[in-house]
Amino acid sequence: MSEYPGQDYSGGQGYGDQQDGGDQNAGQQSSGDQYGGDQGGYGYSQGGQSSEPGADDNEDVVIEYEYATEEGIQFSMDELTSAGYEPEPDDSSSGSIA
Amino acid sequence: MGDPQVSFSGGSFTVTGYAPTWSIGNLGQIRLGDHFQVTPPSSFTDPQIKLGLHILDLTWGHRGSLWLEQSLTMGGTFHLLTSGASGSLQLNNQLLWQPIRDLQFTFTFVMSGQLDQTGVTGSVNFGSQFRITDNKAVLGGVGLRF
Repeated sequence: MSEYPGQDYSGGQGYGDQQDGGDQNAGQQSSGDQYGGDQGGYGYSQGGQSSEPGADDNEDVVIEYEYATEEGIQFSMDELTSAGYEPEPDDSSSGSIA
Repeated sequence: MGDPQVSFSGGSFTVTGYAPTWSIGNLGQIRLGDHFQVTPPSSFTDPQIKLGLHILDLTWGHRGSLWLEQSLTMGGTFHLLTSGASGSLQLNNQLLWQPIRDLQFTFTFVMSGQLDQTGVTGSVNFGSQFRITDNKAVLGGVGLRF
């Protein structure tokens, strides 16, 4: 998987504009058109043992980070079926997910 | 015929991936299951897995790009492989569309809610872990400082 295939994920999937519980990350950047702006204040080192100026720029660096959020969801049956979901013919095989 | 209904009260779908030369933003433009391994909770029945995968797809279609973008407002850690220097750093959104030589990630989706005749309502707890490896000069070019 060495090349991004350039697929349009949302095409024909019927995602629409449904809101799914609101943004629970108040204070965080929440609009897709906000990136690329003035980020000049970012990218600074916050501690640890930084490399010396003039160190080898060909050196490899590993970055690790995490992110978590919880958001409400609400999808209509039309959305589910448009995405390929086929409701079970009866409820005998379904049940609680725990 | 009874009403189809499934309740969600937990269970984690895990997506693991290795996407060399992809950007982080690319991940938000695809159906995850088309390119990466999705592991459902072992305790789920087939109908539960089927519904859960569709919820994952729909949720990712709605929110994936936003979550990826928001993840870059967080901090991270770095480790320089030759000099051994390490520390913390602030990420930024210039990284979003930067192709990354080695991009590895793990996503978890924990779902709560229920399905009835009208659809599904509930919540999704999304967690992500990223490990990216590239040249210091390349990552420095998008404003990261080490």
